[in-house]
Amino acid sequence: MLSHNPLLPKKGAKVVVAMSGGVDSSASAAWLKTMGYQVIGISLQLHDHASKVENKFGTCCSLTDIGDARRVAEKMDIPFYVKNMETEFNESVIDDFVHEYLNGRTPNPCVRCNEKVKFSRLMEWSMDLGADYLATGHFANVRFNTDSNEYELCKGVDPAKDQSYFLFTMKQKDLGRTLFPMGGFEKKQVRELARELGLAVADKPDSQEICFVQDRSYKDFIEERVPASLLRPGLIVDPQGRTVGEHPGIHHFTIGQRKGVGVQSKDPIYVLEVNQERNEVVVGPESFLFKKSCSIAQMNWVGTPELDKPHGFTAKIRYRAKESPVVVRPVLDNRVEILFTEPQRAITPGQALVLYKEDRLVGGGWIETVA
Amino acid sequence: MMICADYNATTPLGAGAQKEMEKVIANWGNPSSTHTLGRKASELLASFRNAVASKVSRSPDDLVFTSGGAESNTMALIGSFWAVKEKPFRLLTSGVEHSSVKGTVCFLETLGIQVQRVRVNAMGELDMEDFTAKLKSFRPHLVSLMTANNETGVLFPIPALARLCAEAALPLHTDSVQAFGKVDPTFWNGADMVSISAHKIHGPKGCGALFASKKWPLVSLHYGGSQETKRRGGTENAIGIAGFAGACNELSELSCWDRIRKLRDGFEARLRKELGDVYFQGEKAPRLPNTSSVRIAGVSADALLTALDLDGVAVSAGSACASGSITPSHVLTEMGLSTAEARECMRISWGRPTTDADVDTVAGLVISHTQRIRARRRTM
Repeated sequence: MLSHNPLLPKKGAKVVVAMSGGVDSSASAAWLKTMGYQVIGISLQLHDHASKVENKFGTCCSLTDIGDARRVAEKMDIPFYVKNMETEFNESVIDDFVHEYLNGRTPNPCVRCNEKVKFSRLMEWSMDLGADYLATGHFANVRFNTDSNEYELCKGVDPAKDQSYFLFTMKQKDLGRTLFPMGGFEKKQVRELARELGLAVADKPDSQEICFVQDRSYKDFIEERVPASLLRPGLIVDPQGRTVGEHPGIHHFTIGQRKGVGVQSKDPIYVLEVNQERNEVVVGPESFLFKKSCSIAQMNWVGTPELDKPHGFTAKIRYRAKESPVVVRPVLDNRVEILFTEPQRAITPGQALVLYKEDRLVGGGWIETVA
Repeated sequence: MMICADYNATTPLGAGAQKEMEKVIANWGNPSSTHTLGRKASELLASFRNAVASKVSRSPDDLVFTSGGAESNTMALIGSFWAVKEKPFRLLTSGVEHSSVKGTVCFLETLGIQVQRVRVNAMGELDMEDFTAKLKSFRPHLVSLMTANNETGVLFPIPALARLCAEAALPLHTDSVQAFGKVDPTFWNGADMVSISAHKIHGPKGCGALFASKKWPLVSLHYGGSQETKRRGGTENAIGIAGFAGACNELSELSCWDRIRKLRDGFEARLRKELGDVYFQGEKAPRLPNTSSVRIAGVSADALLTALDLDGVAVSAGSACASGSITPSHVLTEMGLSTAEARECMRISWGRPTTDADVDTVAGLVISHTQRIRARRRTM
């Protein structure tokens, strides 16, 4: 039996809210305060604001964003702190981001940040403070299933804004201590709520890109951090292995990419594969992008693994992909093979593949190989 | 409920300070004007100057009012740098100075000065052998060594340093911002230049002083007026100076710090007894009577500080000026702590308003939060 909203915290519970300065997390903090909980607002400082590269970082979690969060906290009379997690962020998110590109993969840093920074370090710090919960502004929901006696991670009710995808690495113990106050709202309701509460960020635009590369290209970002010797030019080849061009470095490419490939052809051609070993990029016609299976690594099951019933799942191969029916087969350790009923366009190693059963996020892993 | 255990950061404005400040509100002339309005203000200013100078037994002529301890330090260093003809300018200092000294030294290094830093030991004490050797071999134009460390409270042996510098005919500047009001001025008054600040002694923020004997010239950093005997042009911060003087008038007998010292020592003993695996940086060195640099092994100071703040207790993780940055305290790393260990250090500093109950409550909260965090670690 599922109980709706069984996770409204007990009266007076202490909740740390991660505040980015955006409207979702601001509304979360404000709403929890009006509901009578002891809210503690914290903004993560992930970039070195004192350094000269400040203006190169994006708008998320910049000094102005922290200022926005601080003002919301002041307005709602919430204690507010800035927690410096530059080192953790650099190690777990930025380094991983760069390494993935160097290995011919396309990373998802937002998942890594949730996994390694927010729901691990920040969660531990919040528990050290004596908090009962950590809350974020994500559009997602946590439910408790009294039949299975497990927490469930579910989509946010607004299908256009659902962010459960980015949370697939969460475990039972995390879910028991997490709140997503905005999960039951639609985006426009969140803005209305913010307006009603008089928050200055009610109409602030959403941040769209990766928080640390908003104003410039990720290629420049990578090139600043990696010695040039690791970013060597190489060959662009067709599916038969014939050379059709040269590339300036594999980090320029992602699967399915069409623009900026630099190869003349009468028919549109797309990046099919990025091969780190041979330092090659394989290109070809769009039809070659459609594949029906892939293997994923580091599979995380949010609840008990469901490998005895391999059917009934849908999967997304990237955040913006449409869900598609799949069959799931275990391989070894935490590796799983995914077989799609419908061919999928541009399955990309490095991206997260997330499994759902209707609105419940069952689990997910990282795409390793594509067949 | 708000208990302050961070008096080294600042202190509340005292009644004495407020009283003098009101006089300036009533006598609001510009002390540099020649008319009666100005003269009255000038007389008042002179009385304030005397009040502050008398507290350190120095001539009022040697006193330059500044915007605070940081400016006093900057003035001593940069003013000396410009005044000395021989280049490159040589400065002997330490690695545990307040950030206003450290930052100024870094700036002066970009202008080509030579710097040597005297070592400190694990207790934060100055290595006197190293000092004597460097004094002799380096022959600095200026020695700048603080009186009391703002993070650990450790005292440098200013009387001995002053003697050695006098023998070598070299000027000694000392940052006495934390020491003034807590330690007998005869301790640090042998120095040629002394920085002090009002807001550490229940005076207003934004006002300090540099005592500088005219024997060692300083080039002014502020022009356009002949105020402060031409050493700092610009209309005086009369209201700040008034507050400073009023605070000086109210400086109580130093014996009041005996009570605080007992409370501080009792606090440390209790933490040690009930928590174990807790360390106090510099505890074996001569220290200010009110300061504890506390390290609870395995517990990040950051979490503890926040938990205490949520309980209404104000403490700091070292220096107020350095908070929010990820670089660990340079004071602690100079004393040999690793980055991880430095991150476990909190500064707890009591003040004249501190009561027994305050110390008791804070100790209890530090203990209970630590026990809770340790229990969590064990289950992880």
